[in-house]
Amino acid sequence: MIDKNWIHKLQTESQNIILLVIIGIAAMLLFAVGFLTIVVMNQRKKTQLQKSMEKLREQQQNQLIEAAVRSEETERHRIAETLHDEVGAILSSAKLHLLGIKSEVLDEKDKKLHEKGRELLNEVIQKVRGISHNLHSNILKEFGLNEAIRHFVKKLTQETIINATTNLDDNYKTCNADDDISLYRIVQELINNILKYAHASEMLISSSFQNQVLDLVIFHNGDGLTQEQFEELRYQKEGLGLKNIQNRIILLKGTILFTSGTEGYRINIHVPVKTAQHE
Amino acid sequence: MDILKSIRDWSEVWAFLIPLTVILTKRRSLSSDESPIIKYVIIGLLINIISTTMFVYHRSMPTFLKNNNVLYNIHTILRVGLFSWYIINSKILKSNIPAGIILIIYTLFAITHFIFFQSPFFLSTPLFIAETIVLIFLCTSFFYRAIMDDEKNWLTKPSFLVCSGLFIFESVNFFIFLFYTPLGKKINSSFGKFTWTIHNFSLVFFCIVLAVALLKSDRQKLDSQIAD
Repeated sequence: MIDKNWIHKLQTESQNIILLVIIGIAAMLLFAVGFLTIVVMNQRKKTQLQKSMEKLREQQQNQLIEAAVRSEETERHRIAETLHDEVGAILSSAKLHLLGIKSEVLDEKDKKLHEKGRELLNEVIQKVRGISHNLHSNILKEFGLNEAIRHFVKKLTQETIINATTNLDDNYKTCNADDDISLYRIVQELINNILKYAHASEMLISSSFQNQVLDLVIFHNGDGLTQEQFEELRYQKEGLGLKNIQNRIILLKGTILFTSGTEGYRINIHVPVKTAQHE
Repeated sequence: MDILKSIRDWSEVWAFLIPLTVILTKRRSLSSDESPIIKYVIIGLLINIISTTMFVYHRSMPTFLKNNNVLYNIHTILRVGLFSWYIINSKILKSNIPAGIILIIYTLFAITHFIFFQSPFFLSTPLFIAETIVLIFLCTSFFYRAIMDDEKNWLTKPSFLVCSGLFIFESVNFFIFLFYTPLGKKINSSFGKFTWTIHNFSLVFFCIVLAVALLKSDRQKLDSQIAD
């Protein structure tokens, strides 16, 4: 009987110990899983915070770019208006006064000076008008991007050796006037650079508008930039214009790509167009 | 029942075949950072094949091959050595001094224990407990540094997965190692089988985690090659 009691006691003790071990293992497992859950949740929270900081930083950068671009346009508009309304008016008035001088009463030397004065005044009036239009294009405002580009290209290249043609998709209609201004400025800057540095004899500006995406391509047969050179020059003092282009591209949420081929250099501008529904 | 018994008896062998399959199929694309894991899987598998064979066929084994305890002792030292190397190599620890100190203490303990206190031919539960303490300490240090690191997201790295698996494995086995020998003697051999079955389950889980970590390492290397 004592043996039976002892065996029963041992069995109960064994069961208790086994239960204790199982509980111990379960507790350790729970501890491990709980600890890992805390670590994982902490990391996820940190990652989310980093992502939202990144997003905020990007938003802030875009807002700064937008502010810079908009203020530049406002200033251009103001200068264009001042040039046109004030300087232009004064120059026109000066021209009228000069025209009021009767050349018959002047001697030969004074006639020549009078003629030269009129020529110079005409020239400066044209230049001021040109600067004013460059700063703020009324054609862009009234007739849209395609017409503004055609007019700009024609005006800029008519007295140069470069043969410039345009082939623009007239399916593109202005959806956002500010975006059109940015695109126009990009094209202006790129074409000015080509005329200044590329020594090209042929230039083609083409566009296509499909699926709410505008693709502008500027092709020329001169010395152009590669994508690597563009990336490098953007950060240099001389590359302020290119930096400006990059900022406008960022604002438009588009892309710009410089490529070269056997025939020449190509600049591809790819811009999604925001419609009234998508805004 | 015999099939289930065989599966259980050989679980320490087929568990290692899971990460080994990944190693063999992806060996060219695995990162050198995973070298300690690869070594552990291969050496661990060899040790377990020998020890399990000795256990399953112990009746027909010669006397000097009836005792496989020394292999288990070698295995625990191998696990501590290789996974410590892996964690230190991950370059997450701010300073390797605490890890170095604890490893030196562990080494001295192992040497002292086998010279003065116990023959290596007996299953050394103190050594197993020391293994769990060392590896839980290193894993906790890893997780602490992962939380404090603001630059990298350690959650996406294979080393996080390995340490998580190792942490769970060692946590579960802490009590098993603590009570195995003394209670196994006191109660009966069925208790020993029961707790060792839990150990084998946890080993299978750990090997699956190692396999997933190796796959992740391969995918990350592939992604970085594509990015380049």
